Amino acid sequence: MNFYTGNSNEAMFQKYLIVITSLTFLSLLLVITVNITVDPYGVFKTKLLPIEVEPVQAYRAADQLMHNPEDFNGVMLGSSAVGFTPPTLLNTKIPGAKFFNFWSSSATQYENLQHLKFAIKTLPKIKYVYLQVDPILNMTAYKHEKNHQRRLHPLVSGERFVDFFWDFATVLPWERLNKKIRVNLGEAYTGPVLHYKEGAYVSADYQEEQISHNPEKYYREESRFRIEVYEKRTVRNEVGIKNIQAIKEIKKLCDDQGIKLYVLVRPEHPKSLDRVVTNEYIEFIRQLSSVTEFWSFGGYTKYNLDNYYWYEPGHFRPLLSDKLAQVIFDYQVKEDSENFGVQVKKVNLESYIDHLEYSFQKRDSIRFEPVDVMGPD
Amino acid sequence: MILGIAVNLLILGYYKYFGFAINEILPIFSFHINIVPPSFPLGVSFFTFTQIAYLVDIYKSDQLRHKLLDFSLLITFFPHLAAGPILHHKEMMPQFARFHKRFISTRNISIGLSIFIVGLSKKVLLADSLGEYADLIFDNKIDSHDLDFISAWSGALAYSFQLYFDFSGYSDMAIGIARMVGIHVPINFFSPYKSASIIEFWRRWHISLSRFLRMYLYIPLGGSKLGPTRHIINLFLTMLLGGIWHGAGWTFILWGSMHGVFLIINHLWQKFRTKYVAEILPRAKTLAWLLTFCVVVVAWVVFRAETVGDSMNIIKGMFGLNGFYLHVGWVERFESLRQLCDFLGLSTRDISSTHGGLKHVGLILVSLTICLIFPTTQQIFDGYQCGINSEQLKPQKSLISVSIKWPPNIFWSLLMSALLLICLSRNNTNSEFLYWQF
Repeated sequence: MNFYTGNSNEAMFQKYLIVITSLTFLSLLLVITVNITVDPYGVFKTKLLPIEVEPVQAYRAADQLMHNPEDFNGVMLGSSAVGFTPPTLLNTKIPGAKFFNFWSSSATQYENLQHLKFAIKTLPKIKYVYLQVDPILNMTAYKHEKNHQRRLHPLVSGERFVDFFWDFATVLPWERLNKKIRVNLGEAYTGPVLHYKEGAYVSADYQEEQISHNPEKYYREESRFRIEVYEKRTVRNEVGIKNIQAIKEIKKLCDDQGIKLYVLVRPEHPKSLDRVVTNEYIEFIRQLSSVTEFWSFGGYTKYNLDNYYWYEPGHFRPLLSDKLAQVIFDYQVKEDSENFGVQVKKVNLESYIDHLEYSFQKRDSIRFEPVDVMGPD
Repeated sequence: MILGIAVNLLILGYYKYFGFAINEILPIFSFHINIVPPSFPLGVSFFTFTQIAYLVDIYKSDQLRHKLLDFSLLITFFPHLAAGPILHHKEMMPQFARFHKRFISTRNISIGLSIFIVGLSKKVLLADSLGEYADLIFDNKIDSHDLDFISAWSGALAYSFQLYFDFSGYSDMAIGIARMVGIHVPINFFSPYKSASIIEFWRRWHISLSRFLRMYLYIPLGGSKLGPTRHIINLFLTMLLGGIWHGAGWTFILWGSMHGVFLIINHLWQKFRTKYVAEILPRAKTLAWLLTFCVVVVAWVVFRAETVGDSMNIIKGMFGLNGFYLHVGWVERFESLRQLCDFLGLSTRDISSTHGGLKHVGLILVSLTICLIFPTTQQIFDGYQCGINSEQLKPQKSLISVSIKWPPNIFWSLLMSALLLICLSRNNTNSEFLYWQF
C-alpha cells in the first residue's frame, strides 16, 4: 500500500478549505438571518411578517402563560384536538374558571405532564385541569424527540435555550418559509388561526366558513375523508402503559395540589378508529381506568360517525366540543346517543367494555359498505 | 486462540442474542424467563470481529507483533465503531505504526472533509427521505395484507435504497473522518446495485463483512475445495451465519438462508452455463442485472420486516397477489392515466397523502439513477485515495454512465459548502444510522 501524505499542491488545498469554511460560515449566517427575520416557527417573535403561520404551539403557549399568570386558574391539556375547544366554553360551565388551552401538536401524556408541572410553577393557583386522552396517539407515541413543530419550551423541557434557538435558527424549512412569506404578501391563508390572548386556543376559520357556505361541497372535496382504511386493524398498544404512568403522575399532582381533574377520552373519527386493533384499544381503556375515573367519548358513537362534526378525520369541530362539555358539566346529550360520554368508574368498567366491544364488532360488520360522505361514515 | 474466540463470541452472543433466546427460543420449549435483555453496546458486532481476525492471524503467524497502544487504537478507532467497516489489522496496523502528526495536513483534511460531506449527503438527503416512505409500509402504518403491486414495490424499493444510502453514507463518513487524520480505512461498497449476479453483489455490498466471512468462516470450513456438496453446505452456512450476525430474529435467519440459496443457485448456474450452454446462450447482462436486483430487493423485505409473516404479506403484494392499483394522485394529475386505467381495467386507490405518490416514486427514480449511472464515492475521489480497495474491485460497465471527478477547485468547494449547509439545516428530524443496531 502506498499512502500519499506529501505536501504537493498544499496551497491549492489550503485555498479549497478556506473557501469551504468561509462559504459555509457565510451561508449559515444567511440562514440564521432569514430564520430570525421570517420566523417560520414563530419562536423568535420578530413580527416583521405579522401574520403567523402555524407557530410552535407548545413554545408560544408556555411563553404566553408565563407572561400572563394572573389571568388563568385552569389549564386544558391535550393534543390539537383539544386545541379547537375555546376556553370560554369551559369557563361558562364552571363559575369562576379561567381556562388556558395548553395544548400542543400531537401532545402525549409525557408532554401534558411537563406542561402541568410548568403551569403549577407559573400560575399563582390552579383549580382545574381538563385533560384530554388521545388513545391512538397515546398507544403509539410517548416522546417526540427533536421535532421542531412539537418542541417544548426550554423552561418546560429543561433544554438549554442556546440549543433550542440554535436549532430553530439553522433549520431550513423551505415550505414553511415560502408559505409564511406568501401569506404575508397577501395569499389567502387556510390554516388554523391561534388566539393566544384568548387562552391560546386554535380555530379553523376558513373551514368553518366553507362549511357554512356550502357543506355538501366541503365534505365532498375534503380528501382526508376519502383516505382508504384497510380491512385489518393494525395500530397496537405499544407505549400506552408509559402514557398511563404519566396520567397517574398527573392525577397525583392534581390530588396533592387540590386541583379538580377532568379526564376525558377524546372522540375518534372512524377513519382513525378503524385502524386500531380492538383488543388493544380496550386494553388501553382498562389501563386508564386503573389510574383514574374518566369520561369516555371513544368507540363508535352517533357523533363520531357523523362527518358533519369533523373538519377532517383528525380534528372535530367546536360543535362536538360543545357536546362533550354538555355531557361532562350539564349531564346532557345522553338521551340523543346513549354511548356518547360515559363516565367510567371501576364499578361500571366491565359493562362499558362490553359496550365498546359490541360497538367495534358492529362497526366491523358494516364498515365496508358504501356511505354517503355527508352522513354518518 | 479458541479461548479468545470463545470469549469474543460469548460477549457478542450475550448482548446480541440473549434477548432472542429468552423471548423466542425458550418459549418453544414452554420455558419462560422474565428477564430484561441487556442493552446493546455500540459497535460490539464490529470490534469483536476485528478482534477475532487478529486472534486467528496472530495464532497462525509469529510475525505479528504490535504495541498494546496500537492494538487498542485498532479496536477503538472511533470512525468505524457505530457501523463499520470491519477493520483488518493487516491494513491498519502499519498505518498506526508510522502515524505522525504531519499526517494531519490541509490535503488530508480537504479530501477527508469532502468525502465526509458526500457521505453525510447520502444519509441526510437521500436515506432519511426514503426512510419516510419505507416506514409507511414496514412499520405497519399501512396494512401489509392489503399492499397491492405498486405499493409493495415502491415500499420495498424505498427501503432498498434507504439502506444502501444510509450504510454507504456512514461508510463514506467513516472513511472521510479517518482520512482527515491521514488514516485510510477499507471501502465497504462498490456499486452493489449494478451487480449482475448474487456472487458479484456480495463482492460489492458490505465488502469488509464479506471478506471477514470468507477469510475466517468459508475458507476454514473448506470453501469449494472439499467437493460440490461441501461447497454448497459451506456457502449456505456462511450466508446463514452472516444473516444471524445482522441480528437475532427469524427474519435475519430467513434472510441469510435466502442469500445462501441464491448463492448456491448462482454457483450451480455458472457451472452449468460454462459446461453446457455458454456457446449457444448469449450473455444477457441486463436480464441478469434485473434478476439480481429483484431478488436482492425481495430479500431486503425479509431483512426489514418486523416478522416473517409481515414480510410474506409484502412479498405477496410484490408478486401481484393483492391486486394492481394506481395511486389516486397520479390519476388526478395526469388525465391520460385515467383513460389508461379504464382501458387496462386498473382500479385507483387513495392510499395516503404520501405513499406511492409522485414524490415517493420520483425519489425512487432519482435513487435508481444515482445507483446505476453515477460513480461511487471512490470513483469521484479517484486519484486522491478514498479508502482501501483491498479487493481490487473494478467499476462495472454501464450503458449510460456519468463521469464525475473531484479536484479541489472553486466549483467543488461551492458544491460541498452547499451540500453541508443543506445537511446542517435539515436538523428537524431525529434519525439514526440503520446499521448501528447490527
